[in-house]
Parts: sequence; structure tokens; C-alpha cells
Amino acid sequence: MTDALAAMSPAYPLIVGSLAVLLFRRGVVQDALALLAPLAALALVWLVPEGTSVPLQWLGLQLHPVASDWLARLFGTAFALAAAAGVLFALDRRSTMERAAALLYAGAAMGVAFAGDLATLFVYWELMAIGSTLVVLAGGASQAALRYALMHVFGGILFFAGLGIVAAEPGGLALRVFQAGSPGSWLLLAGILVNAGAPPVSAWVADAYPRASWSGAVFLSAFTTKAAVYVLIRLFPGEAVLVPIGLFMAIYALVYALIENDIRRMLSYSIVGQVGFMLVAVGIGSEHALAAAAAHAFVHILYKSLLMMAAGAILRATGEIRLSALGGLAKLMPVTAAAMVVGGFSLAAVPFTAGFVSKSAIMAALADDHAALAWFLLTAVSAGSFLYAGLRLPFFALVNGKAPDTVAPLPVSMKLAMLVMAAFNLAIGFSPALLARLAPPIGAVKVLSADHILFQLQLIVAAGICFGVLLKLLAPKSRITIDFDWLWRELPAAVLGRLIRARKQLQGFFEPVLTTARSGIGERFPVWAVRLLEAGNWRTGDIALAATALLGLALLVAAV
Amino acid sequence: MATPRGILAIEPRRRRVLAIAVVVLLVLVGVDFFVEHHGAFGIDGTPGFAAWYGFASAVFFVALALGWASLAAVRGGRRDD
Repeated sequence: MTDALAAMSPAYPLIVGSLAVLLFRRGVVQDALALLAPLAALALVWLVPEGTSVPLQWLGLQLHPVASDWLARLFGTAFALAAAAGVLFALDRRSTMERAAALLYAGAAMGVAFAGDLATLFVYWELMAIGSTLVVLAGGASQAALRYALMHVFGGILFFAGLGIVAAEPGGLALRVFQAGSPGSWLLLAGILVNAGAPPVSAWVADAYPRASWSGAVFLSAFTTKAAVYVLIRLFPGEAVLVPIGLFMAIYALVYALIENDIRRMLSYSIVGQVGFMLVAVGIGSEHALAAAAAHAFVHILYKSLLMMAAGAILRATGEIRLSALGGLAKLMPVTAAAMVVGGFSLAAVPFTAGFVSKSAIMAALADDHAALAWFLLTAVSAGSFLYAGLRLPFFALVNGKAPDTVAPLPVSMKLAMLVMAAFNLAIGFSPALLARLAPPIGAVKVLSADHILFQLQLIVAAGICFGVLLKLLAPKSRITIDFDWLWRELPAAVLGRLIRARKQLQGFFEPVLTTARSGIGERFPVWAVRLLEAGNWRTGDIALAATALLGLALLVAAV
Repeated sequence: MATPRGILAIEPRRRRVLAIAVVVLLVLVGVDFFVEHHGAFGIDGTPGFAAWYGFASAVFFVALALGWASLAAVRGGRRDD
């Protein structure tokens, strides 16, 4: 029994569920299958014994399809919860394609968490890209889906190239710790960082996620970037380059989130910023820091899913997602409003929310490591995060402005999903030990101590005063701000346009000279002018002569 | 009648909320003097550090974000879905 369980990846129920929903028409059976798949996966996360499964020989490769430890279980639990809550939230969405894609996507992320070797990990990694692209596509945004797919193909190629090189090293395909020093490890790291939303390709997150359907974005916010964090913890713990990358991501994302008008785009930038926190902790690399990064990924999945649900609920109920066009929704959508406040407060690490617990663990790890620059910068970013997630978003969406006359009613399943995720966020906030059970190394951090709570309260109240004073400056405006995607969406077109214009100018300059030369050749050598300039026919003898001359030249070159 | 400037330009309701927030922050800073700190870098263990640092950080990031928004604004639309 134990051996059989050891070979059962928690990814399998989700992948089988993905295929099964395609076999049934929309209805109770399909709904039940879609809900059961993540719950079965969650059960397997905890039933699969710790350790590595029996090796499997395939094409001369020794594979370990399943490996389990506390880290895999932590991520597996988060992925299963996100998938279950996401399916519940999307129960009313009439898209079998999105449902199947979402389950495949969740299954692939689960497979990454439980992969026991690099080849298995890569297969699930690519499956994840396929599943997520289909989720974006199911929202109807084909251009965005194409850009998303191209970005993940690029990341996949980098990953595969790195994998090809490191597989030839003595460690082979074994999951092991790398240091970014050799071409193979650099390529591997670059491929993972593409999925993590690191610069200069960070813009794909804010490009694709907001274009998914009201339910699709919930799934998208949970898996890809967190699976990348998981792989970084596994393969690149303590990689120093991750610290500046993570700090840049945190600041870059905060700047964009503060000026963003589209709620889901704001939340997408926020994903990049929070992954930045995790990358800094992975870069620090101590046991405590790695566990803190993992714990923050877990909590981030909980609160970001909740926030994306709230945003999706608003989009579905009002048909609008721009802050500048919203307002006064608190009375009309109380459950959604509560979800947005709990999610926003958790993101901003307000005491007694899950985000406070995991961010405290990260900050404690930075303090233990005497990483002063990272500590002061991330503390500053935390204050800024409260500005947009705890204040700007709920204020302009829920409180300020005129409420619409009516909003479309939400089904119970959507409300239930939001309440469940909000309850998880608060439960961990009030009882940090729940998270410490999943990530034992953070157990020593005293989260709910008086000085710590006081510190955080001062930080957020001070940020709140700043918000109150600068309220008008922070009012949402319709605008597009240049992001890194300018490099691949605007720059090539601009360069090509300039090249075409330059070619035309050159043509205009040289055309008279060429015309004169052509007429001169035509007058002196009329036969050759026809053959060379007007694609005239050659006599067979001339062709044979030219071919012989070329062969002779080739022989001469070869002899030399 | 002269147009109100500075703090007086803020509408009364927001002014009241701000006044309450300032009082709350002052109370928190006051309590901070009586709590044992475990600062790791010296200054972070001083009473009221989080209050002034949080305020300064928030102002800095708002200025940075708005400055970037005005510098990097794109004219017109974008080919998009």
C-alpha cells in the first residue's frame, strides 16, 4: 500500500480530472468531478509518504516521478486549496475549456512540487505553460494568450537548454543545489526567473492575467510564479543574485500598483512585488529564510486568490474593473467588500492576517542574516503596499464615488469561495502555529509579540496618514504607462519602421546613380545587361562555363 | 473670499479622519516607549521608528510612482485584445 501511494503523484487526480470534465456535459457530474479532483489531490499530498519514489527507467534515464517532503507538501497544499477554491468560485462559469485547462494547470503545478528529478520537473513545467495559456485563451484574449505562450516558450527553451547542459554533469538529472556560475546553471536560473516574473520580462504577468475571464485570473494568480519560487528554493537556495532581483521586483511592482487603474492589473503587479519578497528570502538562503519564502508563497496564494476573486466578482457583477469607473460597492456587495479588505490587509501584512505572519518570518530571516539594505527596503515597500492594497483599492472601489444603481447578483458558490479563503487568511493570522506546522523552520519566529504588532501598526497608520493627505494625487486615472513589454511590443515595430524609412531614403539617394549605371551597362554590353539586370535566359554553354569556373575556384580554395 | 490652502483645503470629513489617525499614531508611538524592542540594526529598535519611517516611505513611493507615471505615460492606445 505504501509503495503504491509513494508512486502516486498528487498531480494525477488533477490531470485525470482535467480529462474527465471534457467527457461530460456541463452539469452536476462535471461540477462534482471538478471539485473532487483538487480534494483528492489534497488528500494525496498528505498520504504520499515522505521520500523519493522507486526509480523508473525510461529511455535510459533514471526518473523519480514522485518525491515528497515538507516543502512539497506545503506547496502542494497551497496548490490544492487554490484549485479547489478556484473551481468553487468558477462553478457558475460556463466554460468547460477553462475548467479543464485550470485543472490541468493546477495538476502541472502540483507535479512540479512533487517532481523527484529535473526531467519530470521540466515535463510538468511545460504542461503548466500549456494549461495556463489555455486559461488565458478561454477568456477570449487570443493576442494576449499568444504573447503569454511566446514568453513561456522562451522561458522553456532557456530552462531546457540549461537542463541539457547540467544533465551531462556528474549529478545528472537529480534535483540538487546549483550555483549560478556555469552556462548550464545560468540558463536554468534564467528559465525559472522568466516564470517568476523577474525583470526584464516581468510585464508578462500584468499583460496576461488581467485579460483572463473573471474566474480564470484566480487560477492564474496561484500557480506559475509560486511554482517558480518553489523551484528556486529547490535548485538555487542562497543564490546571491536573487536578492537584488527580488528587491527590484518589490519596488518596481509597488510603483506600478500605485498608479494602476485596472484592479486586476494592479493585483498582477502586486504578484510580481510579493514574489520579489520571496526571491530576496531565497537569495538569503538560510534554513529560516527558505522556509519563510515558502510560507510567504503559501500565504500569498491564499490572499491573492481571494483578491482576484473579489476583483472577478466586481467584474462579473458590474461589467467594470477600472477603479476610475467604480465606487460605492461596499453596500451593494458586502461579501465581496469583506473579501477585498481581508485580502488587501493580508497583502499589506496588517496584524492578525496571514500576510503578517509570513512577512514577519521573512523580515526576521533578513534581520538574522543582518541583511540591512534588504530589510529597510522591504519594510519601506510594506508601508507602500498598504497604500494600494489596504487603502487605495478598497477606498476607490468600495467607498468613494457613486454606487451603481444595480449590480448583477452573485451565485452562492462565488461568495462561499471568498468566505473560505478569507477564513484561511484570518485563521493563520490569529494562529501563526498553523503555518509553522507546514513550514517548521519558521516556528521560532515570535509573530504576535507586542513590539512586533506595535511596529506594524505604526507603519500602516503612518502610511494611512500619507494616503489621507495625498488622496487626490492617488485618485485613479485612465492611463497607460510604459513597462518592460515596450521592449518586445513597441521597440521592434519602431525600429522596423525606421529601417524601412531609412531604406527608402537610401533608395531615393542611389536610384539616379544606379539608373545611370544600368543604362551605361546596357549600351556597352546589351546581352549581359539583359542576363544580369533583367533576369534574362542564359545559354547552356555559358551556364556550364560558369559552373566549371565556380568548381575550379572551389578546388583552388580547398587546395589552399 | 480667499481659497483655503494647505490643511484647510482638505474637506472637513477627511480632516476629521486624518486627525483621528494622527492621534492614534501618537498613542502608538507613546506606547512604543514602554515596550521592549528587539531591533537588529540599531535604529529600528528606537521608539517611533516605524511611524516616521513608514510615513517617509509612503511619501517617497507616492512621489516615485507619480513621477514615473508622468515620465513614462504612453500617448494614445496600444494594439491590444
